[in-house]
Amino acid sequence: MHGTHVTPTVSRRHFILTAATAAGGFMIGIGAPRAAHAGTVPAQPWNDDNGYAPNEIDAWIAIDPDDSILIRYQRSEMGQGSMTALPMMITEELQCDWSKVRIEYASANRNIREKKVYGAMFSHGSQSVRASQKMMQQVGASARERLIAAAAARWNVPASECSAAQSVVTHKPSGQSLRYGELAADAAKITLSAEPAIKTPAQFTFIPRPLPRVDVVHKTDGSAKFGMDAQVPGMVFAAITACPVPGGKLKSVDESVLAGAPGILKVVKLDNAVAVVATDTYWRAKRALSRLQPEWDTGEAGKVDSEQLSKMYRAALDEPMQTARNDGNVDQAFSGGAKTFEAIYETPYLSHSPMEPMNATVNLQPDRLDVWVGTQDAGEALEAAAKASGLQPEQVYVHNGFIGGGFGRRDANDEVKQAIAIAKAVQRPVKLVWTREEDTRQDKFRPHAVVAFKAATGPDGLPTAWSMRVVTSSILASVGVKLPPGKIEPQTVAGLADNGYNVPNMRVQSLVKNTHLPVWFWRAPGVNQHTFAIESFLDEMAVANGIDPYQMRRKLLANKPDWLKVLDAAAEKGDWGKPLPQGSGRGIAICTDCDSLCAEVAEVTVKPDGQVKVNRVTVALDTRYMVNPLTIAEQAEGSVIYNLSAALYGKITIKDGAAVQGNFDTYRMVRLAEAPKIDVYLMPSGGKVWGGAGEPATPPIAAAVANAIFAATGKRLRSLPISDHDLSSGSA
Amino acid sequence: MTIISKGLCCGVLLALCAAGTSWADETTSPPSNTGEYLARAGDCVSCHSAPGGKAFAGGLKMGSPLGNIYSTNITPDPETGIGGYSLQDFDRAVRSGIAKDGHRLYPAMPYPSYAKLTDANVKALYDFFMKEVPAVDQANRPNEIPSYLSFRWPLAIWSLLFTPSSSYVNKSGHDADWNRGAYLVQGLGHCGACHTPRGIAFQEKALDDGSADYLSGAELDAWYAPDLRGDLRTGLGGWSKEDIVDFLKGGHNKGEAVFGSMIDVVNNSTPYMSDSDLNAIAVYLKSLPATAAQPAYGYDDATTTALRGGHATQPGAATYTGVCWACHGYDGKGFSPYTPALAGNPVLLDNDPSSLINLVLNGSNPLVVKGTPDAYRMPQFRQQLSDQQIAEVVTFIRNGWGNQAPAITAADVAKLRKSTDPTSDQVIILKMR
Amino acid sequence: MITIQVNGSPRQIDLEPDTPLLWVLRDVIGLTGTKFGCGIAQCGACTVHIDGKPMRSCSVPIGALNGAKVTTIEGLSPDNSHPVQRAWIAEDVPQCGYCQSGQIMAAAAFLKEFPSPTDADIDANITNICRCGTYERLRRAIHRAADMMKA
Repeated sequence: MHGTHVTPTVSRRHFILTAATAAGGFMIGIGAPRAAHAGTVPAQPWNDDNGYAPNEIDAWIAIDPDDSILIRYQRSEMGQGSMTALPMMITEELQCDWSKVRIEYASANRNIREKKVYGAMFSHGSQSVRASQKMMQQVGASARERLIAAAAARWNVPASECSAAQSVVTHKPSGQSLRYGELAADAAKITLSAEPAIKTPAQFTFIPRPLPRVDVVHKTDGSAKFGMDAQVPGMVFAAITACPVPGGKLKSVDESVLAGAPGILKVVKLDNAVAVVATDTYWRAKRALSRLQPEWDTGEAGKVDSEQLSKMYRAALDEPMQTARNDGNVDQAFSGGAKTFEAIYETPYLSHSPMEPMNATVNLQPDRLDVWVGTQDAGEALEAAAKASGLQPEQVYVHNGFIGGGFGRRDANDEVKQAIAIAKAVQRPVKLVWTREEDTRQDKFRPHAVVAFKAATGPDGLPTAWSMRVVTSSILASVGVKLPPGKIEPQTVAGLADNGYNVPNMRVQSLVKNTHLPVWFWRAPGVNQHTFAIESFLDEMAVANGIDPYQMRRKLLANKPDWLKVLDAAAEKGDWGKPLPQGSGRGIAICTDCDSLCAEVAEVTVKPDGQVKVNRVTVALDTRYMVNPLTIAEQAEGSVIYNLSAALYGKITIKDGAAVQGNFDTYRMVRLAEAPKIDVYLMPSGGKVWGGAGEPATPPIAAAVANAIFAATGKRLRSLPISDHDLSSGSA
Repeated sequence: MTIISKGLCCGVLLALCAAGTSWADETTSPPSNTGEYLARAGDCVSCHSAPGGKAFAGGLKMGSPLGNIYSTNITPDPETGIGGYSLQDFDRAVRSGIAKDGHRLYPAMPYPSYAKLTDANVKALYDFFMKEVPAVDQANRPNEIPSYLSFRWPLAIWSLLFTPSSSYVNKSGHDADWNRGAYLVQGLGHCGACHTPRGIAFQEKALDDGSADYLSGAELDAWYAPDLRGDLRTGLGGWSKEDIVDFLKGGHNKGEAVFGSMIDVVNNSTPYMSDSDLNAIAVYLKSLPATAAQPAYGYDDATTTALRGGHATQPGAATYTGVCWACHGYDGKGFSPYTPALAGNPVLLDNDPSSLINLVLNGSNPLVVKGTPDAYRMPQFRQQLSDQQIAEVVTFIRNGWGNQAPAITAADVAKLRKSTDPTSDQVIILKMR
Repeated sequence: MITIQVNGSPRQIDLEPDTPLLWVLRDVIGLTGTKFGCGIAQCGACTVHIDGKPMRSCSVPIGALNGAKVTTIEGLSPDNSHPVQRAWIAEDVPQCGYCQSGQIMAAAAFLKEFPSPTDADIDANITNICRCGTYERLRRAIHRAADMMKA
């Protein structure tokens, strides 16, 4: 049976036993959650005002007399499940009753006013859990110890004789106990002389645990409020089109065509965009906007097209580069007359295309600004909004909603700044919504990248020397971050420089070539595309040298037991080596990302007319530790689909400086009928660091599918998307 | 409908020609029989403007059997336009196809139709172009016709053979509406340029209602300009006069929606015409007899029932319920008049499936009626559906709800997929055959 | 003036008849569970039931709906008890959740016509886009809901 595998019980003891009996040690399968006493979150996740609640113990936790516990969540819930996982970590240390936990977003405004009490508020880089883990544990542990101290004081006994469990503090020697709700007011007044130690993973009793996500109920009855759903009294609706050529400016627009149009409040001209504001529906604004024919000043950028860019990147492969990794002596190894391989791989610009188009709702008053937006970084959104409005950060309130997909896109705040500019012009609360076309074309794209490989193999068929040279553009430059001279931008070599293969002579270099197109973080930045390149090229060498691609990887990872474990698991569970019908094939790929490891096996059928069907994908994922294996498994499944859409169909084409693709009819997505069966095997290996979960399963799928296509057809794909290639049986 | 149009294709082109080429106030109609009104009725702007360019400055690339030609600048600019033209020069170009310098115009310019214009209307048009159109300094682009084909002298013979020698003369036995309609359809409207099949010399087989070929429908490279005669299934036999007027006025009527290069005509021309002129056109078109005896279309709800119940088993039914149903409905009736019906739609019933396939592959262009953009537009399915899937679903809709038309094959789709590939710079929009 | 019934309540709509139902639901009536994803009937995030049938409300003009009965995700059940909703919760389907109102409405209507669906039936009829890639769980949830409806 496909899919993930039902764990018979969620009790931790049984859970580990189940895990241990699966092949390969800590391998577990996660199926549907059992009926569970769930933590809850309100359907409208934002806090309407200052972010205070009665009965607070601290900025994070409030405990009411009836023992219900409010836990604040400072990151962003965009589907990755950290709104469930972070409070679970607090719950682990707080020793509280999960069924009485309710969750709300921490206030970015309070974070400003209280000296960053919530720390960083962003969700990217698969960091929500791993970068918050110590902090969450500390928050929970401190609150627990203060509750214990309050009870000890009440009983006049040493705190060391008291213990906490399920929201109750007990003094064993006397048999007395008090509920958290009875202690909270006292605990709030207690200051600990020193922060208590946090648990080691071996001491965990609550996590890891496959719990249903706290937001699932609201996401099945339409009540979950996304940024798009904000409703403010007196609100008007804005549609916008920015210059299709990034960097271009609005030259002129004839707004007279809208003169007297019913329901149209105003045409707002921005530096690089024009917006139409309607009084009653977004539709009216959107339609009126399509009547305008703005003229843009696009300059030289308006002449750029994809072909030129590709030529420019390829030509730059011969230019001097920065070196990220240099083992042994690659040049010497090549000079020995060994068998060599060379190939160039290319990956296109991509749009993020979250389901919820970009939007922001703002209410700008003289001394206060409220922003409703689904953002991956409420803290940054607040700063950007303050700057754009001219108000002090303390006067700005960002109400983060559930986020209809982020994937890295939702932290640039361009939509927030636009909404504020429009609000200034109309002096009314404004909801700005991008059309789908605008969302695609005004995206900040996954960079285009070209990778040139050269490798030499020895008598055993294994590579002895390997050079990797990358030309791509800089995400940090788009963000506005300047690297110190000589420092290499990690994203440019991610997935290459961090490969696990034991090759004595290896050199990884990159060169940044920026264009007028802004580029941005896209689920597993760098790794998502470079893994396609390196894992395909390795396959080329394996096949040419008569070595099974899986065995080739095994040999090159012989000294990396953790890598081997995920590789073996994917191969074994993915039926590597078992016969397949004509026209079908399997491919394998592996990567590290966000301190996690992931290997995937794809099973693919290529029909005679060239259509590709990915039948089945096996994922082995080692996130080192886990909080909620259920949401981790979901992230792995989602990662596979996300990058599968990109691998099969994704490409932003540039013509006259602008993105050609617009809506889903020209920017195709994988749908249910094309979705493979996905088996996920979670196998946390422990160790010093926690790995991420939201991204690491993204990269391998492209190479796994491309390698499977080679196995099925003998056609080696050195560029994406796959749909650009003719795979029909008669083709060369 | 113009012979050559900027409309067909997708992607960027589609975006570029969104909203048509604006000129003057696009929301109101000019007074009847002024030069501006006549220029609207003749839809000069659709051909004599390039996407994104200035009105009447020319530069639109058009395919022809000989090679690519570019429409010319007809603004009153003395150097690059027709600023130096006298009324006589203008008249010779419009009605006889001879430019001021004496060279023969390619019949992409529908002068065989314009030959029927009255002297007064030519004068009004001349005055409009000279006095009201802003001069644009934009040099004409040379045509891309191989030199061995570029002799223009045969055009003189062509003109002699195929261009009528006098203005339209009212036909007795018909009322004023009919005659006005005939004048507009045959003359300024140059409807036959697309809707009348062409002979071996690329000439329209008929220029008026004297022949059954006239407006009987014609293939136009990747599109099929429908039959406008009284044929019950494939022509206008099932349309009332009001349906015709609605269509010309708004691009939609009870069940049909404008597509292909006719979108340019609606974007730029017919909605600006007076109600009485549109009615006259309808009167005239409704007078054209059917070319063949066709049984009237009758709705059959078996398809609807099968689709609703999820038990339609024909190939293509699954694609229909997965993709098409959202706008065209289980009942094939669309949301008229906003999205077109498929049931009984003449475009589906015609033997020639080019337009259907083209629409499924490439979607529809933006329709802008007097400045108001369309609310609903056909998306493209080139990426999502294979040739086989498109062949199946088009065959399915051609034979659902009482429709009856020949099946199409994946090869038919493949051919059009290639010739209309928006990623190819070889796309030629509407060749004359 | 156009009269439609939304989740059982009559509503008078005074807007241009070519206005899509989606914006009437979201901006006029304030039912925000129905989502805007593409506006061209491609993604299905706006799926509602019109007279019991699944339709993509971004592409349905209200002018065509006089007298129609519209059910949105908010009206599918009063308490999240529809088998599809229960199955969705049991399989923990949603991730970001933005497309799920549409997915659930599509699945609920689908199961009325296909009480014992095969995977091929699901493939052909559930064509809504999910960018989080919940397809595998969504498929399981549809089967589970079918079982629940039979039980």
